[in-house]
Amino acid sequence: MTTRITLDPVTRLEGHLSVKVQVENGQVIEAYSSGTLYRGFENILLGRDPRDAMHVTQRICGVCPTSQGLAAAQAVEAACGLTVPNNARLIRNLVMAADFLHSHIFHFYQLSLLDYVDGPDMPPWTPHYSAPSRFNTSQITNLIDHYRQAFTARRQAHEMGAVFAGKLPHTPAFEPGGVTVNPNAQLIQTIRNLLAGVRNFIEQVYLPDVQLLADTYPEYFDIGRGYGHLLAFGAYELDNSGQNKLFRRGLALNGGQPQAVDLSQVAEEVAYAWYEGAAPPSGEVGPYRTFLPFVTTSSQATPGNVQPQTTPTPDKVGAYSWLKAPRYGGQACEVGPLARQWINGDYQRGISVMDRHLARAQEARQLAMAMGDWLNQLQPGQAVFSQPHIPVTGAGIGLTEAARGALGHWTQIINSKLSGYQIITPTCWNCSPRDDQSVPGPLEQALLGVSVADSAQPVEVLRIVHSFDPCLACAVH
Amino acid sequence: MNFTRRNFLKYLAASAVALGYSELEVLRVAEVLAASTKPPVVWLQGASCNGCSVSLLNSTLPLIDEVLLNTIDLRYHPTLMAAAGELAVTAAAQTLAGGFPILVVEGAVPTAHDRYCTIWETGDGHHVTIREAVQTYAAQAQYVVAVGSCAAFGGIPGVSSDTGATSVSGVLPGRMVINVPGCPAHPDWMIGTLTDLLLNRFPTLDRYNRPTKFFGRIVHQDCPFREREEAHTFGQAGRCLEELGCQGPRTWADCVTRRWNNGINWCANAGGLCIGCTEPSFPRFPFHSSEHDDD
Repeated sequence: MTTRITLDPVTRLEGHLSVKVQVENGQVIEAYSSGTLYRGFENILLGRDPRDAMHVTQRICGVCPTSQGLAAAQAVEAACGLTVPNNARLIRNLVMAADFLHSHIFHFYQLSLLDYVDGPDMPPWTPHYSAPSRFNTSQITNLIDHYRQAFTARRQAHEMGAVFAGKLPHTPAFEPGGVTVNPNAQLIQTIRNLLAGVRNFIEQVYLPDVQLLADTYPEYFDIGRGYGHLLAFGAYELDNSGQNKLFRRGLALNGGQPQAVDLSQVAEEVAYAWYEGAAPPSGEVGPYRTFLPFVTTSSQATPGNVQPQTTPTPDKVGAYSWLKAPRYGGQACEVGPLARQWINGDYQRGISVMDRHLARAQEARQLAMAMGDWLNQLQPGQAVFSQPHIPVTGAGIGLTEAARGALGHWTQIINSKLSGYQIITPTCWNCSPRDDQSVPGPLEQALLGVSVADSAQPVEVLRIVHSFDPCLACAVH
Repeated sequence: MNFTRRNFLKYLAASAVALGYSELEVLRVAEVLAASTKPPVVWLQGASCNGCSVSLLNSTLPLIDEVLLNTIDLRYHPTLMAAAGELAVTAAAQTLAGGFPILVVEGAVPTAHDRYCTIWETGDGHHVTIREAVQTYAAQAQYVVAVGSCAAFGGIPGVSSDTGATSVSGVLPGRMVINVPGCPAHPDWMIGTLTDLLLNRFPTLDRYNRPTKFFGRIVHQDCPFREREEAHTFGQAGRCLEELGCQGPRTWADCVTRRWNNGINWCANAGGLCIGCTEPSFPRFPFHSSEHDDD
């Protein structure tokens, strides 16, 4: 017997996601992941001063804005051939790490935990599914108390970031060329004080709770694997070479060992997404076109070189999502903390719902520790900014990681203005629809095979979706 | 989950002061907020980045968990609520019957095509757009509050030539909508406005329907850098940023005195531009020039 389940809205994530699954004999046999909001940032940026992108792209997402701003700044810096001063590199690391920590803490407690335990007996924690929790009364009391503490810990993570960022979400401090803020001993100490509290929460509360969840729901180590292809662009520069990052760039196919990333293999396909394609040079126009993000040097950028544009076609028959389908060499890849930890060699236990939660918590601890190092390396009085000179024509790519995974901005500049802007976000990888070959995206694949005990209360589906920490505002942008 | 009554009133008194209430008002605020009934609130998100909700979480006086546990009955908020799918939609729909006090809308409202923003699918397969949800819920709400510049004025999504994204007011002709702009909105601005409404005190609004309590000062008026030498590049500590594009002289908000993230900092204090994010004109491009097309 076949049942169709629609979860729209999927709540406890960022933005607008609809998930539909087909269940037969109690197991998911088909899944569709759909983003249901389009705003059009890539087009909004066309014709703008390239420096404005750092401000604008942060508004793609209020949960991970600093990563977007960093990618935008890095793309402009690449176009200018500029390396930011050490202090700027460190301050960017510190602010972005603070943003990761707020996000990871929020994700485990406020976004994920309610799939396994019920909150207080009032809205917004009611109504809820009626599946009984496996935790005992004392554990539930502790978990909900920790849920409440998590509100404070994530707020303090943001405060920690705001010491240099000015305000979070949406910082004005990451101007292309470096940062706008000068470090001094007092600011550094303020961050240290807040960091001590956040790190303590991660080590004494968050990590043990994730372990408790894993011990209590161990079957989720074998649920939600998906294809097992993991991708990271890398982030958190450890020096000015661009080659040494805290989280390395790499690709691990089929849960294997990391290999190098060839950016020319990255593309976005739109067969099942509500977009028209760019016209190829031959003049032929087809309904389903492949987007290749703009990847050229300034010598190839000319006014006649038409860039892939994002043209929404909301009436496109057969499409079902506002997400494009990013693919690496045709493979649907998962991005995020598990991918980063895997490619670093720091977590290779497995690929599943529970592995994602564990890797995220482990990464949070690594970041908190790294922040201490970066604070030590700051040099008050040294430069924080190097004036960029925007080229008349040029191109630049900014690659980094957001909390949810690999992030890239591909940009082109003509007449000193943005003439091309393509963004590929982590959740676009993770929650993508089928591609031009009708191959499902990572989430759609990860949902297959899971047993749903009660079609009216598909908590198993929610648990898989939430393990990816979806951000749909980023995914579509 | 409640504090003892005495602690709670002390705590609320501190909150009330932070939110701009006079000493005379503080006790009344505390009493009303401590009352056992919690007014239902529905929080919808449209063409949004969620930044205003994240900013709300950064509230310190009062703390967000106190707001959720003891102050409001948050019947619908897609980021926080336990329920998903039909259960969540039903929870919102049940609030409609008989009306409810406050509808909060975050994010802009696309109008060019229904597909640009659908927020839920009902059991009969109907995809509900944010526009339809805003219109349906506003009709049953005593007050409508647009939080963030997207909901208040269209914001960055409003720049799109594809989506026809507009403000909440834009889809509620003739309806009074309180605008609490900002990109994001400051938590105090949002909670302070909600508190006024819970007390049935309609805030004094300016001509853009922004509460003057929070948007009655120009950033430049209070800026400590206004008399300083002008910066020629970023990173020159303690200088005025007007030459680099700061829009403080044209921006109404109390950022300088209230500061952000629990008083830690604010934009120009970190050497960063004010980009005028509380203004109807936001985003006023280009950010990095002291000249603009509409000058």
